[in-house]
Amino acid sequence: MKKPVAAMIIIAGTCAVLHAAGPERQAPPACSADNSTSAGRILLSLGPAEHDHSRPQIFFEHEKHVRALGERACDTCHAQQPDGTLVFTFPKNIPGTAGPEALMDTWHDACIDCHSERTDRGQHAGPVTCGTCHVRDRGSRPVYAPVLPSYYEPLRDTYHGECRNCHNEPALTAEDAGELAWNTFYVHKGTVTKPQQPPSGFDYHRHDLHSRTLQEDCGLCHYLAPEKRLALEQEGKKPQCRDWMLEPDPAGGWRDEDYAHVRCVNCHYTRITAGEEKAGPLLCSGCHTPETRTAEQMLDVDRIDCKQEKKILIGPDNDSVMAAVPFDHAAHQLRTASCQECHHKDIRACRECHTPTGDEKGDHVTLAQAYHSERVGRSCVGCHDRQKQKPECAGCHQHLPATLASQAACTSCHSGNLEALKRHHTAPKPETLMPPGTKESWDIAKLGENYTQVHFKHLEITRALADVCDTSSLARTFHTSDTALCSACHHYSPLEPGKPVPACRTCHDAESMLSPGRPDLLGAYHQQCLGCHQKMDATEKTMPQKCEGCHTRTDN
Amino acid sequence: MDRREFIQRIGCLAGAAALSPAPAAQARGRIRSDEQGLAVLVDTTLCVGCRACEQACNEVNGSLPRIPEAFFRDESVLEHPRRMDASAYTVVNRYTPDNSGAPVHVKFQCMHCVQPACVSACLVGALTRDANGAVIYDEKKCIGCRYCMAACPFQVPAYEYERVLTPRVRKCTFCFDTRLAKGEIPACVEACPMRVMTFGRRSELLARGRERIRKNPDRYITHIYGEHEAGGTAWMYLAPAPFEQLDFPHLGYHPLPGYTEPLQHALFKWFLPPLGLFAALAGLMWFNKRKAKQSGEDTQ
Repeated sequence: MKKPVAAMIIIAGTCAVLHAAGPERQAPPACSADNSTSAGRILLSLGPAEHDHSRPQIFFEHEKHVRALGERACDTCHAQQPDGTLVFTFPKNIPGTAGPEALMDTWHDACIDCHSERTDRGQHAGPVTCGTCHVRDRGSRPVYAPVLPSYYEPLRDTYHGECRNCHNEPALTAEDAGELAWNTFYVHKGTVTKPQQPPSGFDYHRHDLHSRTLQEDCGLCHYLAPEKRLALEQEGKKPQCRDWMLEPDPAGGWRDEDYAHVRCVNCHYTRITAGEEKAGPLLCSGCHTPETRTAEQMLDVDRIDCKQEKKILIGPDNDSVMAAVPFDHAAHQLRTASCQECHHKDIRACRECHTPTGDEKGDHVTLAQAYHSERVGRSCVGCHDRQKQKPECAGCHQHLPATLASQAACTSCHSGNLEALKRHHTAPKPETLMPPGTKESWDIAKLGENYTQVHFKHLEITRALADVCDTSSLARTFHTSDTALCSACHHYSPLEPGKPVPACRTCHDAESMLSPGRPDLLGAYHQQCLGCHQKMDATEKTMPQKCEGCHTRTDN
Repeated sequence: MDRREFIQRIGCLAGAAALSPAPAAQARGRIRSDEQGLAVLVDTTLCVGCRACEQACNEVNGSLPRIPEAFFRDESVLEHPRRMDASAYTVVNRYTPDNSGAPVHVKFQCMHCVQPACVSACLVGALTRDANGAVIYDEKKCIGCRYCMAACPFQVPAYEYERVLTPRVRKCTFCFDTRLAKGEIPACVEACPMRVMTFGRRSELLARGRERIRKNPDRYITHIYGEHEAGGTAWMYLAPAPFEQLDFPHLGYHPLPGYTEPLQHALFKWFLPPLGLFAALAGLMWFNKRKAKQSGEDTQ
């Protein structure tokens, strides 16, 4: 047939079928809920880019179909294996070895037949004309825009004739490619492409729910390698979290979400059809809920008993001269929403994949980087740095050096002593830190012309800071010095409890703005006070951020 | 005056022009740095958008229309980005960059380029760059062509369209006459309560800006806008987000006059190209005349 293939429609993810259909591997099914419009839309990708598509791709309203057909009617569209498990391909009888046109015909037959049958029966039915499903809109084609460097721009067409020339992804359609984090030459900068789903967020709460319902039968979801199972049986031990792992990819080329879609949805469906009282949701929006629980909201959820020792010493490594780091695993479990905030897919010790010199298993991230990278929220330092950006901490910490840049950076963790975990410093009463005779509050000398002087409530402010520190376990652990409380405002000063500190005007000139490298007194006060107020109280409820909040305007 | 005499006189004039000393050549078209010029470093992470700078600017510059104080205390002004106009040498705009919800306030005014495009474009020399770094406008020389407004990559110069008979181009003066001349710093710099702006020598400020970025890598993006943009500017900016998101134009590092002046100056270099043109025309005329003469002789 000489005329161009009109539209080779492939539901992205008919893995097994497409393996037979061609040498290229296809990405498995993608169920995505679009939170901007309607939940449960799936983008039906057209074939590879070299084919001419005369019709645009379809945003398939999956959730609409489920609602119309009923929750138990998955098998209307999806094939069911003899054991009752569903195969999430569409339609049921995809021709295994036939070409793209046969596939297209099968697809068209399945949809249109069903739609017309329902119409004949007088039921609510979908469209049967081409343009009603293949809607041409601007968002259906991704736009690729250059990031950097711009001198690649003239070569753009040469390079972009075929994405796969540079980007190492098997047989991706342009639509799928749009979602990849391409940090090499170009990133995707389209308007609307693939509908984005909110994360399903399998947190401690959901794990707890499943664990109770399924009577703690871990093997229903997790996988135990046969040799591991054998070894454990010989030792007479029960498997623990660290023994379970992600099931090996059954079809090849599965993405993270495919495990969830195939395993979770099938299990939910089986339980629904079996008439179980407790069965999970089938609709996209059932798991992909926009709200996720924060660590604080989950404090009352039972944590997984992973048989991990509560307090351990991490390191030292073979050739490391650093002392070991005492680590409170239980405390960290309490302050995260899921194990995956620190661990990856499998629960492993960091060093198993992140070797001291870096290994392919650990994506060449060395052990030291895995612990210390400031850019990644999963590393120790990265996560602690993010904690310090919370409003209650950021007021002071914005004026202080980052974790790794501070003087006591290394020894505050590398103490080599489990006893260090017991140290919990409650902030001392601020009065005890001030030299005797310090007033509770005083007026700051009038500096500008247009405003009155400021009445500065020193004691009230320090008490508020002490309260903040006392409620934070991170602060109680890491604020080892009594005067930590004072160090953000009284920076660069020798701090000792009960000893006076140099006044601000010692360094910040009250008269001249031209002292090198530091603001004058007026600027220093504004930067320090207002900078902190803005960080700690973005809503301006408790801390003034307008001129009149601290002083009143004089009429010149 | 016959033809021969005319050509002789033209030739004399051209010769005189060629021999006369060239006009004081400005080092144009080449990248020139002015490290010792006066400059201002603006740290946009500190600005809270109080607009005290706008008010101070209006008070100091007597030639600007008086704006009531209520305007500077009206926070709704920040809701929409503004541009400098005939009533304001400087404006503060609020932007919300992509990466964080925190708004960023940016003060705009004349950037006082090291190699200003407006000075290059001005036909009559009404705009000049002072030795201390300020780009100065002289309303007595201005003919109102507004080429400076078209030339400025930052769209700074504004025009008094309402003053029908005596319109002026309006732009920040760097307070060169009102304050710098008295040894004072610019009014906006002095008025800022957060000390967003630092006034000093350009080289010193660049060093200070780099030091701030080095000490607070999370606070700033690693770029000082104005260090190299359009060949360098006297007003330079530090920012927490990419400058494109803060309405700063994406300019190359090449000074803008460098694109136009080599060609334009070459056209009149030593007056030779015009002379060549006249010579070619004269030659053509002579050739045509001879041809007409010959054809006349032939017909006879």
